[in-house]
Amino acid sequence: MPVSKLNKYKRIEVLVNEVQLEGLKQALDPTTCALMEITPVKVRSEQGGLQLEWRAGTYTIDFLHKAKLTLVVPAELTDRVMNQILTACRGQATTEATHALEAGYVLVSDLEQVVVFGSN
Amino acid sequence: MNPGDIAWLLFSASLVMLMTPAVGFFYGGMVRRKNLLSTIMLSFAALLLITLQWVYFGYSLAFGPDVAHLIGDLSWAGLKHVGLAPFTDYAAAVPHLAFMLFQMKFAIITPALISGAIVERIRFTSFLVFMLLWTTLVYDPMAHWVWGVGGWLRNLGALDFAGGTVVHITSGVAALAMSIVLRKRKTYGNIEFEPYSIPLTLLGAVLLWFGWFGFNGGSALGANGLAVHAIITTNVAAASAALTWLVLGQLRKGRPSVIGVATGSVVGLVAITPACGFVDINAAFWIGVVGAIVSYLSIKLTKRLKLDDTLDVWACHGMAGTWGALATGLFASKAVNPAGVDGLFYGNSSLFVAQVISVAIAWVFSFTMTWLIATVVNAIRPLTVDEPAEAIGLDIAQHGEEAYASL
Repeated sequence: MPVSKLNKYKRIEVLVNEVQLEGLKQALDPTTCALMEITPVKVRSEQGGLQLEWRAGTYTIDFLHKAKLTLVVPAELTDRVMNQILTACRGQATTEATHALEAGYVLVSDLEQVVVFGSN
Repeated sequence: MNPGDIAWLLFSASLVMLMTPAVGFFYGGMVRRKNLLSTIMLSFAALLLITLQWVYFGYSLAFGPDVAHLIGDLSWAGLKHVGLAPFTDYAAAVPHLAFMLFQMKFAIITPALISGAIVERIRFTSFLVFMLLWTTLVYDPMAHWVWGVGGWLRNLGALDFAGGTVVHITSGVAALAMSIVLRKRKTYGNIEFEPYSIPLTLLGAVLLWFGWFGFNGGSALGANGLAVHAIITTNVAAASAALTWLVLGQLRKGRPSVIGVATGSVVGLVAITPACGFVDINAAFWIGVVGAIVSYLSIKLTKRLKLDDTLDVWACHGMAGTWGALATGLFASKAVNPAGVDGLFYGNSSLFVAQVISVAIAWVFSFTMTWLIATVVNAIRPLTVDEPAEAIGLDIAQHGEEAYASL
């Protein structure tokens, strides 16, 4: 099993509204990332909940749908990728009305080891 | 016998058969994913259990030769004396067996309706026992009183074209009693959750609407003008109730919800059921409109009283059924159906009085009997599951299955 020679990797998780996903994807250079994956997630944040319609009244859900983009990048490229992410996300913030939708998170953490198998 | 009548009654029985799993889908879409199969299964089980109950003794109790105006005797048990010759007191132009089959589908759907009140916490096997006892001790006598030859409410002059009292008031009030006897869900009032699949609920409502043409149109017991009339009043009331539900949502500054439309249409169908073959089209419109308002406010009341009638069976079936039965006493017209009676709005108060009496009897009888049956069954083997099973979800805990595999 080939173990990567570069032993320093970072995991970058970007939690954004689904509408920002396409812009984000286009801004990122896939060759800089060892891994890129998208997961649908539900997030509870300072935005608070969302009121939905029931039969005769409403109910509130606390967790809102977001997309989570997970990237694994070599540590030395972290700053470059972070700049691409933030530029892409902030670049889409256009009006006060959509500000809440555009609120997002970027989480960066160390990875101890990255093993890639079944590939050249 | 008339081939057209036989064909229509058999098709109507098939339409009403479809309504019972439709109730399962209608309810199933509104619960959490972990309880979806359990919810559908409660309705499907009624199809199996009550079919046999009806054949072996239920039909005889409900429609068999009268004993003291209260119940049928057991001389038709196992369908003895129920054959291909018509039984003219019930339906002169079709085989007695066809009438029995059509009525069987009504007996099946009624306990399935109750299940909406106790989903997400019910113990499946205990509910089977409850259903069997309830159909035998509540549904069969009520059906006999209202529809059986010699039944005392029938003799009183009360009208129920397709089961507003027998099906909807009894099941709705039973749901109320069940939500009082059974413990609430542990999450009741603490956790708000999204219904699993609103399209499933809407599909259930659509299948119910479709099936209701057989439920109400088939109750004319023949391929005739009355069946046509009943289907049209049914459609009009479903539409006016669903539109009213949308307006009510707008009045509280809500958004027009799909679940509201699905609920409103079912409520309209419930409300028109006893009246569909006795009232004109305009009356059907108003029966739908008022039925929606009554049910809407009843749902609010259920929440205020903190009753865990989980899917509002009392509000939607009990209360809309009650309104429909009373409305029959107001709007019925001999011009629509010469075999009927004029209602209060046509100058005859005696029908309205008979309707009030039959509604009151259905309420008291169903509530008391359901309370007793549920309490006894609950004491022998709890009707609710324990806390861990509720938390895991009834699909896995009760049935060992998951509705949707993740991979």
